[in-house]
Amino acid sequence: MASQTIVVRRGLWTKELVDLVRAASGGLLFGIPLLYTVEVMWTGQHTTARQALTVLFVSFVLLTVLNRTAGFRAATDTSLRDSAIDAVEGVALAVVLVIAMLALLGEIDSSTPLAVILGKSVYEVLPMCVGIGVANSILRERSRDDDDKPPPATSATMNATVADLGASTIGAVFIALSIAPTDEVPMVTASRSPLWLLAIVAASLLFAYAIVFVAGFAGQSRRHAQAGLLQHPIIETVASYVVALMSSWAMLWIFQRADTPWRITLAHVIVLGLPAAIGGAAGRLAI
Amino acid sequence: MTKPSTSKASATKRGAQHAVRTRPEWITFGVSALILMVVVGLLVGRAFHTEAASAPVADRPGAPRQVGDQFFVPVEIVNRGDLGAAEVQVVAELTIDGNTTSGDQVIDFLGGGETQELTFVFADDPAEGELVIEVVGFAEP
Repeated sequence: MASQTIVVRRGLWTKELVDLVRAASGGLLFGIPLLYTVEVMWTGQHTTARQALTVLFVSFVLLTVLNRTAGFRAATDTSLRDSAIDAVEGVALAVVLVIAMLALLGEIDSSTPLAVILGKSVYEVLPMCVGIGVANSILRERSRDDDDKPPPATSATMNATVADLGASTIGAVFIALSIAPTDEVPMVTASRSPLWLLAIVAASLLFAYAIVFVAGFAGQSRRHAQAGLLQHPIIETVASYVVALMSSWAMLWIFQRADTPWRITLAHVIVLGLPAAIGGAAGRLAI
Repeated sequence: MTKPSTSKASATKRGAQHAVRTRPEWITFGVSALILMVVVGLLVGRAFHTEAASAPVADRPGAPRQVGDQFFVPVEIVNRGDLGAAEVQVVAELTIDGNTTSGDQVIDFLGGGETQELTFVFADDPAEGELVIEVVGFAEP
């Protein structure tokens, strides 16, 4: 009896964790382009505390409304009270995510004054909240029947693999193309040591894995059933990350930002590879 | 092939009504509410605190570092105000035997209390003359 209770509790915690990972994934998909926009942080830093509080309140109201229709939880919120409670969780998660991402990108560190951290974060929280609020519908909605369908008999293993890599490329370009020509990529790179770049690589792989294999987005079951050479979750995540890095290099080359010494170019590719990996993960679910 | 069954399980429940909140959900809510209370508390504290105007100043320059024929001089620019400053112009002048060499840099944005490190490069050793580094202007964002 006691062991049954422990199993049920573990199941509840897993479900809660999956809901939060889904929220974080939706938030990152929507919010990451603005994390690479310094003007958004500057705007936050020269707003007054009252304006910052207003932005937080707007984020909360927006998320409450979105929770009524989409939200991030597997179960639908039926009451305004539940939507508001989930909105509190969503805004707090957005604050934590934004601060973690700003630290990862070198925008803040332990010496940064608290007021500056709050200022840099507050306007980044808003788009992150929108992503959290539409996490359940941010990707193509498919019916369960459609999701449970086996892959078409005609889809050969090689075709499925090519489709996966193609979808990763499209998703990576979709999210990272608008970031590639900006000065933010070299700015972030300049402040990052090789160890930090390794941390960015780890974060890119973690986010890509979470979006495709943990968050429970539409299309996830279909992905598990799909044939292809890369259909082990770890292999698929690593292969798609390599595609994201190659796409990043191509985008930098197109915008004439790849003609630097190879170490600098590699650093630029890794920094741009973070949004590209997140986009690539979404692409594999969407296409 | 390893397939995380938990995620599949959660996906199948999408659309079910959120009838009863579980203990993990309440714990998440408690932690979230605590985080938001701290953030809101800090902002409310700032709202009732009179914020000092932007005041970016140059700290004392660091020790020069010789690289080839050049001398690199680091300096920290600190905004001692609570409000941010934009386009902070910093000028460095090195005078040796009456001859002055100058350089200038611009910091795009410096938040309240924030510090930015700059490096000026001179052909002569600053130890042999008088070096003055100062902020000569900035814009209110």
